[in-house]
Amino acid sequence: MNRLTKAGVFLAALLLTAGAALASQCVTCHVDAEKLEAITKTLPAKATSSETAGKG
Amino acid sequence: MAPLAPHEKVLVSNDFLESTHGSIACVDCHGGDNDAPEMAAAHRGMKADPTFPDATGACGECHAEQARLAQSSLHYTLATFKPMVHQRAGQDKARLQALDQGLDNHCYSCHASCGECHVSRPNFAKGGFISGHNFNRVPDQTNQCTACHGSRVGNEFTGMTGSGDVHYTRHDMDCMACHSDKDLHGDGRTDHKDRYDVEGLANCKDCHEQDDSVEQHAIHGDQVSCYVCHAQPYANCYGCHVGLDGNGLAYYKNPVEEELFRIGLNPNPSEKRPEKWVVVRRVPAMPTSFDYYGKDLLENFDRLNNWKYASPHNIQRRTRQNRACNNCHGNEELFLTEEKVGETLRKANEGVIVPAAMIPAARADVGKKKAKKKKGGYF
Repeated sequence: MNRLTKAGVFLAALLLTAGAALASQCVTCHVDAEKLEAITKTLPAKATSSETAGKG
Repeated sequence: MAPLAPHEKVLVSNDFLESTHGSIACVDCHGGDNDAPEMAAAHRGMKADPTFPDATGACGECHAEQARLAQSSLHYTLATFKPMVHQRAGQDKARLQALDQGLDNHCYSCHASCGECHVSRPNFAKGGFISGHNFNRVPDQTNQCTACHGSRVGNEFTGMTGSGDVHYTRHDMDCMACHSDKDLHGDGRTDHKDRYDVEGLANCKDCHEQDDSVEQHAIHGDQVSCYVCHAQPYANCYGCHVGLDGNGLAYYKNPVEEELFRIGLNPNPSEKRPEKWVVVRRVPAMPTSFDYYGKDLLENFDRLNNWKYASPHNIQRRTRQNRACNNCHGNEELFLTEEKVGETLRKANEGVIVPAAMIPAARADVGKKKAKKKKGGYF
């Protein structure tokens, strides 16, 4: 394997690793209960009417 | 049911990531921007529920038939609501528009998508994953079915009111034991006039063939619905009103509820439901239900009954009705007579009201104990 091929393989591996990391961006937060809890505490609660009464 | 904590609603479990659905990239179903470095940008354009209103994109590639049927499933479309309500309305376009606004703000916010039955709690129950985003082939009775169908069906079925349903309390059967996917996914038709028109709907006879060796079954045949003899009292609601509060948030008020049992006449006998005598439940619709959106929008309320054919989910083998003939025969209390409906709703319900003269007379030949034969002794 010459130096150029080695560099190509290295670059491909690097891109694959970066791709896998990108694919898990959403997951990074969404599997972390503590992180999510901290985030959701900063979000406004969804408002519902207090006038609703009785069974739906 | 108490809503899940906000962070629990979107917490993905690690075992989901190892599942078949978990191997699909998040953005393939939900959209959004996976490359964005900040939360707001990452969620821009994202669909929390990619299965509603159209499931073909997210589910159809693998579940083509189910995604196709979803387009016509009443869980998705609530297709019978509008024609029903419009029958009670007038023809004026502006007034119909006002009424439709009310339907959109209130009634049509209540639906169920693929995701709301197989992944999350329904929006009506404030949503949230029930199992870390895992897909459950069979819906979860508590978190999904009765999260919507709770105040009547759920309470009656599980015994929160009455003695519960024998299928659940004694035989540990859940909703899905009777309601098959055919029943719930829809039948592909779009012309249903009534929710009972869906093909493949659960029916007692799916499991219980009529056994005429049971004397009362042979006598009553298909004149009396199973529920008349085997259901217990159930919830009836008397006055739903909807509107928007000072902050523009939708509300409903359904203040009066009563547990009772009423036998009425079948308003629409059909091949599938030929019985003359059925159980009827008072539904919350009132002539004034949409008054917030305009006075007298339901000006033709009398065109439809608001005591409706019912199928209470609280079946027991032995009930108050079937313990003795005269618990029904001659017992006016159980029948939906004029006085019980009230003057203003009599015309609407004339097809289900039982005229006093039609109530089966008390039987004189029953209720008297036959003289017991004296047992012969040994000596």
